[in-house]
Amino acid sequence: MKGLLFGGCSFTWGQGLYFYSDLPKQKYPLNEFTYRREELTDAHLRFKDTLRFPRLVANHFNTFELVKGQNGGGEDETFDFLRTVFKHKINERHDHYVSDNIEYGDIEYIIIQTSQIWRNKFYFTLDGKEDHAMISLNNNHHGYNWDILYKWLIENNETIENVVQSHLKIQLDRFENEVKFYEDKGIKVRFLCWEPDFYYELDKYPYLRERFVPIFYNDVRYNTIRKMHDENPHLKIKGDVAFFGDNIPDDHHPSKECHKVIAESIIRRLESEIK
Amino acid sequence: MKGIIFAGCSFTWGHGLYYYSTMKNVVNQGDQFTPNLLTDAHIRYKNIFRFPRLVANHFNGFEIVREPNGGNDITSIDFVNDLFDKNKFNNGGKYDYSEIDYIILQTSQIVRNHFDVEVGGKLEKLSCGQNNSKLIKFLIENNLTYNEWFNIFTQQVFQKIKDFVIFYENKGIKTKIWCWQDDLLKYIKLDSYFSDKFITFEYEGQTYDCLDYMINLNENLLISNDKINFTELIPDQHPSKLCHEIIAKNIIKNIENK
Repeated sequence: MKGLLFGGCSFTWGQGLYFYSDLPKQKYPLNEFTYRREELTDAHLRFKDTLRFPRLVANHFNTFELVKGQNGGGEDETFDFLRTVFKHKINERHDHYVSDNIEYGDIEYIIIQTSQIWRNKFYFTLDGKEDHAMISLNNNHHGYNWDILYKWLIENNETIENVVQSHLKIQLDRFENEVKFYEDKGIKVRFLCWEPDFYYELDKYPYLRERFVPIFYNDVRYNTIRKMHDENPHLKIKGDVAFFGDNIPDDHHPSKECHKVIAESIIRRLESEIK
Repeated sequence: MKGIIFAGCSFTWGHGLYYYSTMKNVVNQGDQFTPNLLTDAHIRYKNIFRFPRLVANHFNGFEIVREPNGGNDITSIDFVNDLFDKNKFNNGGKYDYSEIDYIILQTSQIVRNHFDVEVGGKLEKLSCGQNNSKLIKFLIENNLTYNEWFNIFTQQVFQKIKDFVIFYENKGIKTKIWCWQDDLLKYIKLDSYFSDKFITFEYEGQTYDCLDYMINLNENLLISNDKINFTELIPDQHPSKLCHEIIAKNIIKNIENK
């Protein structure tokens, strides 16, 4: 098998997996929503690479994996990363830490883990100037740049409900177009979901549905990592009492076992296609 | 297991392992090395087959390997030292002694190292090629035959390696050593300090003190003679994929036994 390219957020990056090492200088996060890069050493970073699902899948197929260097992000960053990998785009900020020159022919599969849809920017034009906001699905939609977005809503006689629907459609359309682009280049694209937003819309997108990878744990099918975590809290780091005992990090990211479960589900899907 | 540093020459780097990839754009370079002919995908691919990754995977740890290909024993020592020196640039990252469990040092061809000599109160590093005029001058001035000098030289390299190993053992990092060629064997095997640090190779019921001895009797362990994987042979004199697996197995065995 040729190389495997993985796109996703902190779940794919392997946030928190360094807590499974016996490396020194580990600082647990203040709470599950905090992340401080400066508290991690190069050793922590290298260690987490060995446990995350991209490496487990690559090891199984005797090939190499490529993962975005920087932690976090949504689909905006995932597709930007892919563009940067294939040099459609020079990443002047180097925020994906891509130094490799990869050709389409080097990659067999792109595996995307979708994140939270509201992390992607919603673009609009106000007073002749292009701007963007984050359409938070929580907190009464008060995400990044809410005040300006609110002004735009008023001036355009729009409702936030319409904007949320429009945002979902824009994201799904974009997702499908990006997948088609890479499939046309001869790379097979598959994806799995953390949150349900993408999954709920898949009936309208049969092309995407064919490429969706469900996760199986204890013979139960989960369409989202969220659902699997809700029903199996030990698959989050913060629920992994078996490993951490009383001294458990407040970290909602996938546990070591969860990465294994995700990897096994991807392997299962890819093997069924290879056969 | 925490981190494992692997220091060595092209044997540790995984020279030629890209020929085992399924990528159609791998260029047969013979026994030459032209970095421009390798893509980043080829480099990543060979990393998965080389013994450092196999050992690290076995112990659920991570491996650190020097990024450029090739080198000698002194560049290996410098590479390791730089990993712990926050003031020196190194692609491999920066580490604390407490983050590393093992250093696995692979010795290379001894004449790749420089011979250190004091000339007029100044330290000079002489290249060890037999045609080096400075070295020839040194031999004549000191009334030494090449063989006499070679003994002094190998002792000098051995002492540098021993100092290196002692330094890191004192920092709490366990250090193992294995040899491609036999020039240092007489020192390593006679020195009890190395008795639990020296890695030999077991393969098909035989034990070999250095890789050269094993390969001499099992030529299929070179890429150039790997008839199982290549119908059209590639004249590359580096360890085959199987050879990397054997090296990994013996390192793992040594670590697990001691």
